[in-house]
Amino acid sequence: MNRRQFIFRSLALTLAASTGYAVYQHQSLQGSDNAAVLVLDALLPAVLMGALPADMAAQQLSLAQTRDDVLQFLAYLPHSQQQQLQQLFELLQQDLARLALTGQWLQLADLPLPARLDLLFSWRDSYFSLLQQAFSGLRELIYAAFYGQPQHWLSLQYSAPEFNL
Amino acid sequence: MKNLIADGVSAGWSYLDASTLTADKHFEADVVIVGSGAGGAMAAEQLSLAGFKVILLEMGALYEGKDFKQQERWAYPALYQDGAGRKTLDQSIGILQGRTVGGSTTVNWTTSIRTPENTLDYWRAEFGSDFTSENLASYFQQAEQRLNIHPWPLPPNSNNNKLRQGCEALGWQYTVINRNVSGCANLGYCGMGCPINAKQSMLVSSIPAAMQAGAMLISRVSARELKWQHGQVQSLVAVPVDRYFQADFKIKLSFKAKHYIVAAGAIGSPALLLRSKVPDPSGRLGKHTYLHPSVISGALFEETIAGHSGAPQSIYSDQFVWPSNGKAGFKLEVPPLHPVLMATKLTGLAQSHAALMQQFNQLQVVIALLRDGFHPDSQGGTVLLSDNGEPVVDYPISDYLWQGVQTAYLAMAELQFAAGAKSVLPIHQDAELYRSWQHARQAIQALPLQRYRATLASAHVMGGCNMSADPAKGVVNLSGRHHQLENLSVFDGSVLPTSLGANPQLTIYALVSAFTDRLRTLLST
Repeated sequence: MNRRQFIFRSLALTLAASTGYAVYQHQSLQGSDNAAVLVLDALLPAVLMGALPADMAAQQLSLAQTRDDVLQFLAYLPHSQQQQLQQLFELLQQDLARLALTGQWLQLADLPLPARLDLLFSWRDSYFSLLQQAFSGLRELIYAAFYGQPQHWLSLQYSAPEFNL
Repeated sequence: MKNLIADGVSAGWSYLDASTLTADKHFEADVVIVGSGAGGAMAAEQLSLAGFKVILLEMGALYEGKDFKQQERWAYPALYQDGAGRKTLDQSIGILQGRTVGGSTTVNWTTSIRTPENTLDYWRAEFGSDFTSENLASYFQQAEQRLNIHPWPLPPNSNNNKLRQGCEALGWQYTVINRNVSGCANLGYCGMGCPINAKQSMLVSSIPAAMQAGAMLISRVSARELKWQHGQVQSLVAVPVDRYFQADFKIKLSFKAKHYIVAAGAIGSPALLLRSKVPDPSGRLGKHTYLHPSVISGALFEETIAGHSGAPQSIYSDQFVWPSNGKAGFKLEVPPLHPVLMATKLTGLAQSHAALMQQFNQLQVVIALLRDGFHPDSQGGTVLLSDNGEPVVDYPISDYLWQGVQTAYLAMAELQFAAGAKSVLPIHQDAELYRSWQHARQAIQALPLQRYRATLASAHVMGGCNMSADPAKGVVNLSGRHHQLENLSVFDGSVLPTSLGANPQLTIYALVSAFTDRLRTLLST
């Protein structure tokens, strides 16, 4: 267990205790390989509310492409940051850690969209710097991926000059 | 329009993409230079023209003119450190830093300012520097001529013009910016690489000139360690980087030279020296790293601003850079406004964020660059190495700087209202759109001055291998040469003993030209 894992696990434990769940059952940090996909698929529709195209098919395409662009971008980050994000994604897919981080037994995807936003705001306003980092890190990744796509510039009335495209 | 380096390589210039190597390789030269930005490229040109055999190493890839795409989703991963996602250790400050052939000069916003007099005075008083505006003048002139640095003759774009109008309304100082451009089409995409070779970056000037004179360029290579003993660097070990610019240790490149110049930027250079465990009796290696931490203020106007179009920076204000009360000073500028840069910096989530983005073309943004390093409570950050040797900057923000942040929010809001803004949004998690200066002033004074609440960014990394006359107060001497290792120099922004209070490229060009003059004499004898 490296230092980050230790901090995240300690954080999950502390939060679990503070929410009344003092019994901590060991859970492996080897989460699902697609933890990042599941977490992003749950958070994107909430974070992008108001920005997504109205048409359902276009919306689904937009969400999938944004998720794929986030995943693709992660490889450019330093290994330490990649590991930190991966641990966050995995913890959010594990029952007890998720309970600690979200206050809910439900899967993220089962929460209504406003509750998913409330979760992110609670991270933003948390006393734990790791949760504040998680808020700003995920938010930045998601908005960079979404607004990097030219099809999302229509509502901005923005277009780029087309040299070398 | 030409791809100068690719065309030159076709005509026989020496170039290698290290990621194409399939076996270890050894190189020898008179001078090996690590980093192809403002410092490394300038030195490469001058030493190559003097007849020295030079090898110029760059961690980033070779992209030029026709390769540049005016889309952030291409440009940031291709041209910037960590895909423009570089952060300080606690992730409270974002850092924009080039990682491509030409370094940050390939992606900077072309602002070219001579070193402020007050900064040179401070270096003389505190670090025994011998640099003055007078004895640097010929080096400034040389760089200004070489890179066609001149006052921007066209009207500023609306984003910059609002900065000017606010200054005029309030009686604040402002200056038309000198830019290093030739044949600029006023596009506004300098930060994604100039597609028409108008920006006189190292990519279209010193690097082609060095290669024409015989220098070899190696891209996609990460310098890992200087091997040294008996006060001399013996060799340099490097490895290729993979497609994501991560070091790939399967293949090794080794270099032997008479002299080694480290110019990998103010994070990369200290990192290489730290990995190499070079002597550090002053204890200042990797310390006193300065960022010009920058505070951001958005404003909405009735009229179209379209801050993505036109020269990104053409006006600045030095009204608050050197306050007489000893408080943290800051320079006022504006950034270019492109969708990703704005979306990631603007506050809000979901509908509130989307609503702001829908007013993208009415948005005007001012940034305040805090002048760090001139006060006992502003001693900068520290470059640390991760377990695998990759650098990260730990930059704690002192109460002294936080006071500067608050003053900067106030100044920017006052300026934006004076320029006619209908509302102002300090980029802080607890701020809202304020509709009057009076309301904004009260609200800003109540904003918590805490990391993660205020969005902070940096585009200027300086220090970490500071120069000083006294070996007890610096890593290199006043010629950029390492105090302990005889054949090692540091020629980039990491030698700066403080931040500058101005955008750094012209200072680096001038200092490195002065250093190179002295090194050339030394190597010739």
